[in-house]
Amino acid sequence: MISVRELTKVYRQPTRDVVAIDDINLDIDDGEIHGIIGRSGAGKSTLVRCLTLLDRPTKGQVIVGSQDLTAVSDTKLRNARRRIGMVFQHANLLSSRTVAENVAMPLEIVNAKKAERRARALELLELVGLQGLEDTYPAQLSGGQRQRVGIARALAADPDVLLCDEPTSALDPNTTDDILTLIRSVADRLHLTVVVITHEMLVVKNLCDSVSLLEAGKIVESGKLSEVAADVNSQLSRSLLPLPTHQPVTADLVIEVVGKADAVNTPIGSTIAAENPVTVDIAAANIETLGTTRFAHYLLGINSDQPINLTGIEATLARHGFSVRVRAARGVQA
Amino acid sequence: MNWFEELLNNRALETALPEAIWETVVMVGIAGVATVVIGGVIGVILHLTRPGGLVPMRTLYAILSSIIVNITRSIPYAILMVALIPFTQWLIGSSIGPIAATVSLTIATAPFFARLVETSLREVPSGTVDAAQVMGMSNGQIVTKVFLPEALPGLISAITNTTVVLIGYSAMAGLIGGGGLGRLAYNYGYQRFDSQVMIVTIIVMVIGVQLIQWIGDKIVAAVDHR
Repeated sequence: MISVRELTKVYRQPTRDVVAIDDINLDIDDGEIHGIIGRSGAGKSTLVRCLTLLDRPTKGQVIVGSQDLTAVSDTKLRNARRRIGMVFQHANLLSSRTVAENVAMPLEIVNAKKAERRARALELLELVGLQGLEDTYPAQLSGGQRQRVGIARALAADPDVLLCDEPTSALDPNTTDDILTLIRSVADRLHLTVVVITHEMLVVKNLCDSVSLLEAGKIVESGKLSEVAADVNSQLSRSLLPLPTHQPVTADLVIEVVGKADAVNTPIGSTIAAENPVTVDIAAANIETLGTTRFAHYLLGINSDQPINLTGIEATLARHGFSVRVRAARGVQA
Repeated sequence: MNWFEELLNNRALETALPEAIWETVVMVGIAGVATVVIGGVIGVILHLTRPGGLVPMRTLYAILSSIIVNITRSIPYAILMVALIPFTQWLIGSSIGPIAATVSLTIATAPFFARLVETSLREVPSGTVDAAQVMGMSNGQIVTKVFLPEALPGLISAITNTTVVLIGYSAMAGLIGGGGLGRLAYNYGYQRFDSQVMIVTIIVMVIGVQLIQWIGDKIVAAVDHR
């Protein structure tokens, strides 16, 4: 549905050029919810502005459906943009219009009749759970309600793609959950392809099917949530399945392992010990469910009175579906 | 009581005051509408063409901003109105009377109003413009559906302020043939030492300004949903 090819944006400044996003490639399938996570300064805002052509990329293509947005004229771009609904961090509603008039705004552009616009607005407001508030003004609403209006407005022109820019960053935790649930349900119901830009791992955990990690303008990791989380060597896995605070581990061999689905039920210590002459301490563990899949992340301290055969331990873990990362190895056989 | 009886029987007030009020209303009314239209258009163009605006145009912005707006604003009205007499003569065919006065009044206040419009438009959050663009709005639609309605409270305040300034300027214009309350106060109050006319003129002007400010504030309160 969405393909991004070699997308690059360079801001030319008098003294130097700033490369805000650097050769980004991305493919998002129909109906997929894709999260793009990064810290502030990673290039998230620039990426959003380039995806919607609010800023012209220096190089590269943004293809939505079969249309390359970077190649069309301004008039055609205005039409193409109507296939993209956008949700902003601060909703960006017009304070001079009522809630219903805000929601119906995208329809005004295509000259829909007044009664038709009103009917569509009421229908969308019901979808987002704001029935009865159609004639209030945005200033009278809470932040969460305003964001719901923003979502309703984004859906008004029947888009194929919903682009969410930090949709919950200005909201409290409970409201965040409500908004994420709402986005999920409208995406499923209307079969939308969704791109969510965020700095909150919680949003990725609770909403996304797939995820990309943006760092210094580049995508450094990308994949299905269930796959990146299961790879203990990925940065995303460490943020998705964080270990609780723990004491420093001193052992002959210190490893981190991540397993998913059935692997979660494996008794990790006895399984390793059964096949290798070692003792296993679980120093820290985190077991949680992402989407519908359960994941286990362990930090293990392994000791033995003889040199440890790391290859053997890795083989045991691999057979039970765990990925392994070695943190410290003192007593390991060369 | 004697002073009040005199006031009520003052022939100057009886005949000249209503006419003077009417002339002031005509001057401020015509110049006001012309200022709002001309200054409004310049203000919108200034906002759109400024660096980082919706359609940045460096040269046009520089010309409008520094040459037209700043230079005009830096000439005191007392000098501007005299300097413009030949231009008014050419445009209207006369340099005397309330209609002629509206020319210099408009030229003096339109740039001032344009700056106020530009400032009000700048208050419109850039996020709402982003939202409008993503919806597929054209620049013209963004002006009429986003900028002007969102800035409306500020624009009404700007109109109120400009009208008050216009009333002040119109009194000055009265001195060189514009007529109105300015001339009334000058002719009777200054040249004939008729302090009653002076006092009444001041009271009328104070009430007029208060009334305009009050109406302006009421409208702002009615349209402001922020």
